[in-house]
Amino acid sequence: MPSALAQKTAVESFVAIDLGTRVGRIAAARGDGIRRAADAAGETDIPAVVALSPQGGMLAGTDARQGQSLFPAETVLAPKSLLIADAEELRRRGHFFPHPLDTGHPGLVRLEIGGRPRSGIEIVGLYLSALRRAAEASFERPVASAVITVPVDFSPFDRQALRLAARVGGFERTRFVDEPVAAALAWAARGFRGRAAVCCWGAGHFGAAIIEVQPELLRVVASVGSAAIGGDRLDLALAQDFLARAEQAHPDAGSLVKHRAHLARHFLVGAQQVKHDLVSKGRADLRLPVPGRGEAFRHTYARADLEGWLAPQLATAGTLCRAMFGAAGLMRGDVDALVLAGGMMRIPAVVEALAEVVGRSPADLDESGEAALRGALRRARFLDHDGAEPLVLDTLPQALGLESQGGRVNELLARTELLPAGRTELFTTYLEKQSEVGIQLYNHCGLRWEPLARVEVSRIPGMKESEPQIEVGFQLDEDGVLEVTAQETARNKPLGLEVRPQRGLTGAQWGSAWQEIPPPEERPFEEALREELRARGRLQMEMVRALARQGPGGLARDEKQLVTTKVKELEEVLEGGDLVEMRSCQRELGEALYPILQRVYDKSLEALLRQ
Amino acid sequence: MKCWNCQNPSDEALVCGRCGMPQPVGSPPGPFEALGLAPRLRWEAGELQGVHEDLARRCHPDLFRAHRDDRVLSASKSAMRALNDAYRTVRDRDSRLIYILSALGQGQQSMRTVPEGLQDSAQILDRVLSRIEEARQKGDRAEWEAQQDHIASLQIKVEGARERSDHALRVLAGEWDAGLSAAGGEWPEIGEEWIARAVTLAGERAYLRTVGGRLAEAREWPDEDPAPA
Repeated sequence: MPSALAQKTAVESFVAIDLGTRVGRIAAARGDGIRRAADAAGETDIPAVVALSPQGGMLAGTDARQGQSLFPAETVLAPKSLLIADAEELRRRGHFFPHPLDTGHPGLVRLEIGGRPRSGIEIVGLYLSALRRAAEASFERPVASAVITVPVDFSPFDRQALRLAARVGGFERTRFVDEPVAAALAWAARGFRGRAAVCCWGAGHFGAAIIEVQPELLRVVASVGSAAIGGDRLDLALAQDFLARAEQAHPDAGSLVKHRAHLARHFLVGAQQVKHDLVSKGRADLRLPVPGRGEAFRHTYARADLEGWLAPQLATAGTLCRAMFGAAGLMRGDVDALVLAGGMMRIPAVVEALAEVVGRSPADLDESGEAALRGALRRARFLDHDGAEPLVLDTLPQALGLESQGGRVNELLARTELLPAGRTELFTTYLEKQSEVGIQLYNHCGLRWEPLARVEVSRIPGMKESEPQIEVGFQLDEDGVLEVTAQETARNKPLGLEVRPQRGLTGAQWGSAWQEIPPPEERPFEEALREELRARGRLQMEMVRALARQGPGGLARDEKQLVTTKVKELEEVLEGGDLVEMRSCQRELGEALYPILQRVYDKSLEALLRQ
Repeated sequence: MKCWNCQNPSDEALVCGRCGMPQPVGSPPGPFEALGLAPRLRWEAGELQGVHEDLARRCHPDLFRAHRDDRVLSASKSAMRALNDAYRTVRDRDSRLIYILSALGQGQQSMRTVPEGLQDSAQILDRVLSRIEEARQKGDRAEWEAQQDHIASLQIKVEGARERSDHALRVLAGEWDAGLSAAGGEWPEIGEEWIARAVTLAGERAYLRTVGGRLAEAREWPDEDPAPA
C-alpha cells in the first residue's frame, strides 16, 4: 500500500462526481485528461444501488445491483430520488417500492432498511461513501473534496440535504454544479463561444439553462427544471400499466408480484427494455408467467403507447423551456447552439421536440453520457486553481417568493439573480403584544409557485401592533443553499427562528439527524478500508448462501465447488486482514459469482420478455 | 478606505487596487460606488454586465476557496454579495431610475399609476383578467378561449403605452445624464419638475410591468401535470 494512503494531506484536490439517478460516476484530473474510478467489480458507471443487510453490512454499486434479485427488499434503487420524494409518492409506486416506510418524522421520508429506519440523506451518504472508497482505491490517495452535480430543481433544502449526505459519505469539502452548467462546461471545452441552450434530461430530472460562454467565463442567464418528468416515470407508467392489465386477466397476478418482490424489479428493467424496443423497432412484448397455469400473460405494446406517455412530459418540458427564454428576456431561436445530454435524448421524439421549442438543431448529443462528469471535473480543476479553467457566474436555480396578505406570491429573488444573493425584508405585527409572525416561502422552477417552507419568527418583544420592525434576511450561498436570519431592528437583537421546509429537515431535526446517523469512526485509512473489505466479503458470502438455498437452477455442481473453494479462501484471508490478499480474493470470488448471479437474474428477466 | 490586507488606501470599494484582495463590505456602498461608476441613467447594452464580470473575476469566492487565511474567503463572499446586489440594483433602466429616485428621497416607488391613454381600458382589463382567473379555477377552457381576443387587443394597447413610456424614459434619462455631466460627475442639482415626472413615469412603468406579466400569463392555459407515478 503506498505511503500516501496512510496520511491525509491538509488540502487534497477536488474530485468530480456526476450523481445520476441510476448511475454515479467519479473522476479525478490526470494531467489535462480525466481518470475515472471503478467500483470493486471494475465498473466505472457505478450503479446507483445500495443494499443494506440487517446484520450491518452494506453493498453499493455493481455488487448491490448483482444481488438485487436475491435481496429485493434490502436493495434500494435510485437513492438520489429519496432526497426529494414524499411518502405519498413512494406509496403510489405500490409493488415497485418494496420498502416499508417510517413516517415518524413529518416532512422526512425514512425507510425501514438494514435493521432500522434510515433517511434518504443517510442512504445517499452511504452511496457517496462507496463512490469515495472507489476513488480512494483507484487513485490510491485519500479523497475528501468533491464537486457534485445537482439537478436544477433541487430546492435550497434539497441542496442542504445533499451537502449533509456528502458529509455522511466522508466528504469534508463539497461544492455543487448544476447539471446543465456541467454539460455546458464540457461543451465549452471544445472551443464553443456564444450563447447556448443546454438541456439535461435523465431518469429522474429535467433541467435546462441558457448559458453565455466567453473566454475564461461562463455566465448562466436563467435556468429551469423539474423532477416531475423523466425516464423513471415512463418506465413506472409502463410497468404499472402492464401489471394492471395482468391483474385484469389473472386476479392473482397482483399478489404474485407482491409476494415475489424481485418480479416488480424485473418489470421495471423489462419496461426499460420495452421502451428501447419501441424506439428502435416500434413494437415490444412483456409477459408474466402465471405459476400453476402453464401459461403466461402477454401484452404487446406499440410506439403509440410510448408516445401517449411521453406527450404530457414533452408538453411540460416545452413550457419549462419557454419560461426559461422568458426569464432570460430572449425569444425562441436567440441562441447559437442547443446542447443535449442525458438518457432521455436517446428517444428521437424528445430531441425533435426540444429542437422545435428552442429553435435550433442540436449541436451536441452526449453519446458517452460523460458530459456532466467532464464538466464537473472542470469545476473541480478551477477550484484547485487551474488557471486554464473558466470561472462560472451562476444564477439562482429557482425564484423565491413570499406570500402576501391577499394570497398572491410576490417574487423575492428572481431566477436571473446571481449567486451568492440575498434580500432583507421588513415585517411587522398586526396585534398588540403579538410575539410570533409566520412567513410562507415559495419557490418557482419554471412551472408554478410551490410552497417551500414556513418561517416562524418568535420571541418578538411586546409592543403595539405595527411597531416592531422585524428584519428577515434570506441569503443564498454560491451553491444555492439558503440561510434565514431574523432580528428586531430597533433593539438589533436576534429573534427566535424556526424554518420548517415543506420537505426535508427542520432546524431542530438537523441536530437529531446527526445523532441518529452513527458518526464515522476516526480510524486510520488502512484500518477503515480493511473493515469495509471484510464487510463486503461477508455480504458476498451471504449471496452465495442465498444462491445455494434457491435449489435447482441456482448453482450447478461444478459452480458450487468453485464458489465453495473461493469462499473458504476468503474466510481465511478475512481473518488475516492483509489488504492486498483480501482484495484479490474478493475479486476472484466476484469473478466466479457474478456470472452466476447474472444468469439467475437474466433467466427470470427473460421470462418476462419475448425476444 | 484602507485595505484590510495591505493597509494602503484603496480607491475601489470591493477589491483593493494595490494588493488585489477582496474587501469585506460592512455597510453596503451605493450600487454605482460599488461598481466604481458614475450614477448615469443611460448605459449601452452589455456595458454594465462587462463591469460586473470584470469585478467578479477579481473577487468571486471560488477564486479564494483554498486560501490559507479564512479572512480572505470571508471577505470575497462579502464583496461578491455586495457586487451582485449592486448589479441587480442598476442592471436595467427601471431599477436604475427607482434607485436614483430613492437616493433623492422619493422612497420606494411601489405606487402603480395607470398611464394616460390606458385609463379607458383599465376597467375592462381588470374584468377580463378576473374572468380568466375564474375560468382557470373552474377549469372552464371554453370561457378562457372566449377571452383570448380581448387579451390580444389589450396586449396591443399595453404595448403602445410601453413604447410611449420608453420614449419618455429616454428623454428623462438624457436630462439626468446631462445634469450629471455638467456637475462634473457629481450628483446634479435636479429640479422638482424632473422629480415629479420621474415619479409618475416610475409608477406607470410599474403598472405596465405588472399588467404585461398578467396578460402574458393569461395567454397560457395551465399545463396538466404529467402522468402521475
